[in-house]
Amino acid sequence: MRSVLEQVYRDHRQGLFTLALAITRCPHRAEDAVHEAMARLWQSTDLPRDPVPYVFSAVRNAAIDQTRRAVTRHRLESASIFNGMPAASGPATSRSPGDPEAEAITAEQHARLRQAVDDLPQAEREAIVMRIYGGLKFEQIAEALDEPLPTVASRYRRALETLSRRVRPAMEASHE
Amino acid sequence: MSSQHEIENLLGQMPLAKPSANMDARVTDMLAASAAGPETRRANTGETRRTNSPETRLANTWGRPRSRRAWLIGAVGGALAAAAVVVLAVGLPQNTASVTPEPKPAPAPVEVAASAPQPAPAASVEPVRLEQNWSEVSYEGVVCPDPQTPLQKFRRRTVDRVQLFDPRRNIRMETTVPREEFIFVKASMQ
Repeated sequence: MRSVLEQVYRDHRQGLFTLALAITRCPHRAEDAVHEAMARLWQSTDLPRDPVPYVFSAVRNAAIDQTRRAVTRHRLESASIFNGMPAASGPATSRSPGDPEAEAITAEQHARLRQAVDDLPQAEREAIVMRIYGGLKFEQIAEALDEPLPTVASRYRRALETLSRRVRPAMEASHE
Repeated sequence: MSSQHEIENLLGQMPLAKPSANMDARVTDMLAASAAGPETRRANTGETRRTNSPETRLANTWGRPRSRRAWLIGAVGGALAAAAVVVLAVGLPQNTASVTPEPKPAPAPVEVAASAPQPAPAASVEPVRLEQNWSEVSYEGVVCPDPQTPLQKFRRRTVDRVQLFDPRRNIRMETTVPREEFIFVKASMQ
């Protein structure tokens, strides 16, 4: 039990924290939510065969609880799940790295993307975070959210389309 | 490459906000304590549930209950109990026949007007005990309904606690009955 939880935490700590942060929008509350969820799971008697969706679900519930408490205290924040600007070394553009123009375009892309992700509805943001930063399969996301698989898949696709629309101008500029 | 794949790639490159080392320490400490006994485990859970956010820390400092839900349950329970007492006080028959009258403040009462209604008790509900908890008499001056007979006016307030027993349903109930009486005493003419 302990070793399983430790393993899941070790493998998914960033994804769990990012999911909590995507919901609470406050790093302190996100950490509280992860800790609270792990404490609850630790006290529970047993874990399912695939504990990963279960842990994500527990963190999500704890994060929602944290947000409700913050709402009643009028202490909502709006922290992003992203941390500043990305490194310029990534192959985000078709131009050569080190090119100032390419770096500027990459920065523009990331800024748009960051804003677009922050503006997504919470359910779509959760799907994106679980899939990309948690590394969960659609089946696992559906289990964590307790929703049908097609619903989760279409929500994820819709979120990507929204992000694509928001970032497209910068992407087209990078391909020119 | 489709634009969706490009977006996924872009998302994968975005630098994420990192959890602090404090979170790792809290979680791993809690999990590490599981090897100890249940008391240690419980204590450790309590410790690790000391949370990070500013308002939680403030709540701990002030000694507030940590769970708002527990507080809410207590408040709702209290409200329901108060409502039940009111319903019992209003809805149940009030039997004041066995009330022992207190010594009157003046020697010659000429008229007593009880303002509290005193319906006859239902046949199935029997009062088994009555306790008079509180009584107060106040003087309210002289009234003159007739110029020849001035009266001193006293107000007596009592709160009776009555226990009722319903043998048919085998339940015991308790009700609080407030009463107010006006006592008029003929004033002597000097």
